[in-house]
Amino acid sequence: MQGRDLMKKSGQIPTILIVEDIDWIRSGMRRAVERQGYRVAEARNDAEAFGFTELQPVDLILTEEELPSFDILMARLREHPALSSVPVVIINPDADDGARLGDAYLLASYADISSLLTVLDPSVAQKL
Amino acid sequence: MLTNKLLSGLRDSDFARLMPVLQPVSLSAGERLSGAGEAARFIYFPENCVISCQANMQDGKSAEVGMIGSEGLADITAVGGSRPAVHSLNVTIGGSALRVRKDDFERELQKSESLQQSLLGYAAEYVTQLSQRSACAVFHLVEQRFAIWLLLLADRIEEDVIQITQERIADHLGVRRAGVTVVAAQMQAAGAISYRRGSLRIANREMLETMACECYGTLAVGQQQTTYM
Repeated sequence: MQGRDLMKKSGQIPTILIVEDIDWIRSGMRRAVERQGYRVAEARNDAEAFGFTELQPVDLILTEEELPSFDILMARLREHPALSSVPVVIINPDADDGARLGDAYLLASYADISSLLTVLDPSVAQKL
Repeated sequence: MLTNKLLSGLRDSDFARLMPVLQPVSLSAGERLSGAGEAARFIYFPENCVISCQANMQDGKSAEVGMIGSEGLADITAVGGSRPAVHSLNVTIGGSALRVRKDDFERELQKSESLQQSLLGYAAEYVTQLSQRSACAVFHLVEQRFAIWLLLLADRIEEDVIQITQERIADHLGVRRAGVTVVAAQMQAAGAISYRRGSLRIANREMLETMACECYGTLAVGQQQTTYM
């Protein structure tokens, strides 16, 4: 089920926050996620990401493990009362869907964010 | 049957003299043949494998600077020199090769005019590859460099299916894995390639050629004209 289908069901489009410092990679991630009907927000680092989340809630954070501030981002998310339950997803085409990298989930393809629904906690997955 | 073009181009008498010191080896994908700072012990003549000459930066980043298949040998910069290698040699695509101890090769090189000519011809070809690829890295987009790298690799193995992970592709192109993933997804959506778990297939070669930059013409023609004698 795509984001736009879920919107029809729940009346809300899930928001995915992309945290990526390299512009062309971030744009490519955005296009892939928007094609699936999700609302996309962008941040270049952990500071921008937390700035955004103070203004609006997010349903999922999409980032990459080579992000320079990846460890800081993960540590701050873990300690944040409102964001510690927001799933963090890293696309890794060589990994199994749902495999873990620390607190983050690995997903094989940008093309099917909803495949996460099978591995996420149901209370989190229902938001997607 | 000998498939290395550099060796098969030698005069029969010169190859016969080299043959006793050539050792067939099987190389595995991802295997490191030599590292930067090490003195080369062997010279490798790929048969159906592909070897990458890789520049490694102090911060851990790396990028392929040269690709060597059955058209040549690895590493030409080691021949006749005693300084430690600047770059590392890694196996991109596993397969067979012939290897010779560096000192044995250099001894035979002194005696064989056809080997000297072959080596000079290949050196020119290899320098062309390095120089064109360095310009390509400056002027062209990652999408274009990814496309050309796949084409150059497929040309060498004469296969459309390439067993390689996106993590290793990122190491070759000198970009983050997330960047490779973005570009691969675009190419896959366009129908040029398909990718699943370490196996990349060129689904539409013509489309991939249109995605590549002009450098493919230069490098591919160089490949096709490989006759060193």
